[in-house]
Amino acid sequence: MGIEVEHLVGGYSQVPVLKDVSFSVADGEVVGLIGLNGAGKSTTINHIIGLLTPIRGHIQLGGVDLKTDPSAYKQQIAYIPELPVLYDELTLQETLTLTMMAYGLDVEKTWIRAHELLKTFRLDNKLNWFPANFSKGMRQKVMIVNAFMTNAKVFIIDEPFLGLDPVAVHDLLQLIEEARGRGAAVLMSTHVLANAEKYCDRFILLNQGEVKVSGTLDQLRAAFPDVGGSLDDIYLALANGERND
Amino acid sequence: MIFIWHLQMVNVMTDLQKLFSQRLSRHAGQLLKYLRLVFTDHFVIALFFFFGALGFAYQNELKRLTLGVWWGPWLTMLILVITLQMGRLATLLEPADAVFLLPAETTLHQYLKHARNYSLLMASFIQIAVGVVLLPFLARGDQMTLLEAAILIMTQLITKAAWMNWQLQQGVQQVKHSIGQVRLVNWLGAIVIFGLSLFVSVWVGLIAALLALSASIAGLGKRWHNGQLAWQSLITNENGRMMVLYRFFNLFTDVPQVKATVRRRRYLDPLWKLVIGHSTNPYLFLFTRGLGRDSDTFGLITRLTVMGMIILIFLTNQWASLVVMLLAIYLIGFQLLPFYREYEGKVFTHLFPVTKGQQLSAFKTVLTDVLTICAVLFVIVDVAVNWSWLRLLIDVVAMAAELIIFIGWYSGWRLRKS
Repeated sequence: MGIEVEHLVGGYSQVPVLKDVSFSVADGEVVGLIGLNGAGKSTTINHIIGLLTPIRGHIQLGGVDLKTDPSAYKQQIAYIPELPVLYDELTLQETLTLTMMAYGLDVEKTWIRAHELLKTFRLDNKLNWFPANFSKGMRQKVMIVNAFMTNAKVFIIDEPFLGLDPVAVHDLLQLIEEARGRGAAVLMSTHVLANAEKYCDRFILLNQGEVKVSGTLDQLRAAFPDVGGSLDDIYLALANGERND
Repeated sequence: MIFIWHLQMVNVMTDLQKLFSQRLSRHAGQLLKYLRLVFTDHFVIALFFFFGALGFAYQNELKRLTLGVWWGPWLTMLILVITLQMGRLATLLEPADAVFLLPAETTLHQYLKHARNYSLLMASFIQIAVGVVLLPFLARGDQMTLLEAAILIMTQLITKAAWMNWQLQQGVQQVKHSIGQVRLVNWLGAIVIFGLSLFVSVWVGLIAALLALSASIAGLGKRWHNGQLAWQSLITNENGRMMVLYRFFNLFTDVPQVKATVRRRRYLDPLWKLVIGHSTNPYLFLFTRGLGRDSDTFGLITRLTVMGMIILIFLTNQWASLVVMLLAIYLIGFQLLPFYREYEGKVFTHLFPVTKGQQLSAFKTVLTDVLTICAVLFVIVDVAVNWSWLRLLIDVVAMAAELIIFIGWYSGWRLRKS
């Protein structure tokens, strides 16, 4: 189950950015989506959350196709965008309430969870503020609370560490661990390789719209035997390889 | 070495002296551009009639006035104190200046002096204009001689100069007074000075104003050579001043600098509870708050409603009133339609597991509520001014028919089309 991407060809126009991308994220697994700027990470994510329609190929979440049952498909997703997206006219409290309404969550129960998270991220005294006026880091925290207060089965997290203070990074990683423990499938794109290396079970290295290599860290090491042991080394080898192409 | 450094300093100095005149001409050009859009032919003619009528009414009232009424000095004081607050310090500083001009901080004093002089000149025009309009009233209501009136206007100008210096001083010193303190001094000080002028003697008021001016010059001089500027407050004030201008222009034309501001409007909270009830439609939640807090749309609805109500007060002809009501409701509804797509740009709008049908039904609910409130207000005003059962009946039937057609059929057709 989890996330299944099969032979995905897609992009923003008729010119495909993604060329035959296939991978999967199992339930209870954290997978890192890694690649240079413009490799197709965000495009992949936009396809998975249903903003873009595939030119060819299929995407299934928990065995559900977007086309056959859009409501059930979207119901499973918790998404943290690369840049915080907030409604200018809603207070923090209303922002979270809106999400609960949209996903049909039990408002009272979810608020208990939300309050815990708000406390963790030191936002609990700002419920009546407009988060659109917050700093970048604080807005990012709102997005994190918004995503993790749900019991989503699929987490799509796009470059979550930028602008977060170290404490918040730590707390976020812990939340991701918890979600994995609950059996959620987590797909996370990031450039912070040290975090990815520590917390992801598997990696997908995208390059120019194709999956260059994927697997556990050991499998990646086997694919790039001479470059060194860390994800950083492998990534740099991939980048240099592209420059020399 | 020292020579070169000196040359460079001179260069910076002259450049900075030129800087204000450069900024001023750019500022003037910008104002002119917008003023041309504001003062179109129709608007000028309307203003002409408006001020003509106002002048005529003023003249008539003056004729009926008994000489030396008891409330004369009080009204004069009120007008003068309010007028005194008009005309702010225009520094024409920009946010980037805090970075780029920081090294030239001490030489910027010359720049700020230019800014002060220009601002004072502009403010003086307002003060003098109000003073001149007030002259006949001063003569009849307050029974002043021309000399006394002239001294009063002079007092006004001197006080304004002192206030302008005091405003500049806020930008030059690091220890900033709170806005509350500044306002208190601005209003209370003016009340004291004009109180002396009007209730003791214009000469005493003049002396008080002169004292305030010399105090402001001394206060400024003390901090002037200290060097540092309060960049943050200087720039915030200038931005605030420009925003007031832009917002005014925005009433007539589209000003790109004016971004819709969001206001909390806590007093609307109960209304939303009423509209939403037990519905779990997230779009109902979003649309109500969006409409209520987005200043653009909210302002538009209020302006059109109030304008419609004012027109209805003056219309006695039943059919003319009816046309105005129908038209106003159509205009408000039509202007509201684009709000349906207000949140298309937000990714979460697409992520929510909610159907298009839910979105449309939520929008129609909100549309119904807003337009019904407007229609009820129009009908109330119309029948309150010209009461008859028949008129009430016709108004209600016509409004209901329009709402049913507009919301039930037209809005859906329009939204699907675009």
